[in-house]
Amino acid sequence: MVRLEPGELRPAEELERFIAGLAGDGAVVSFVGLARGADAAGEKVTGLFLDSYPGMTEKSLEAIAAAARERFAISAVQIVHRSGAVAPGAPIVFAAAAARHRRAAFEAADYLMDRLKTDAVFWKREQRLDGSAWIEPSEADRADRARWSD
Amino acid sequence: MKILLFGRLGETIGREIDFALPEGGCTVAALRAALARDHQGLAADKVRACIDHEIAPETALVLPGQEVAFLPPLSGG
Repeated sequence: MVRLEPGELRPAEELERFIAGLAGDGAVVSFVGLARGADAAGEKVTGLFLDSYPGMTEKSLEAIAAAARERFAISAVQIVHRSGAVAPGAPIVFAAAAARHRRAAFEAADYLMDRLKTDAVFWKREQRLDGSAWIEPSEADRADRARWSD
Repeated sequence: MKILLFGRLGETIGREIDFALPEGGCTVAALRAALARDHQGLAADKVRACIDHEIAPETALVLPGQEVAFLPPLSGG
């Protein structure tokens, strides 16, 4: 259901594997997040480093996946998240949801990403031309997360 | 006892610091105060303590054999 990937993340393979494991679903929605080549201020980012806490990071991904399963009429969820150094343009996260009907799968994938952006246990450092900086969720990320509060 | 640090804290202070935990343990607040003497970054409210992979309040008791970490604010995925 979830995996922390220290090596390369290959979204096409992940999607294929996810679909191969389904039985009787009519819809799959997947999302791929890529490392951006520029920071929030438009400055060039030459690389990203994702620090994680072995054990606790996986647990946070599992909690997000389980919450999606509980909240939406979906039959399967997959989250694969990179850790370590990620080059600009490279996949950083793959999230997918499968359901009998498409609406629940779309909503669940949206939910997974909003939760991942704020609640997943990661610390992100952007490498820029003039040094590096650790970043925190933006107000927009927090507002996206708040859409799902109950 | 080894205390684990991540993100900005791990980079500036180190991934692990040693702490001589009293035999009967101590509260998170006492642990934080002791560590913050040498590492001021640990005193910040937004740095959360974590015992055995669960966020722990300042009143929680840290006991020998547990895994203790201090976490700076999460960046998210």
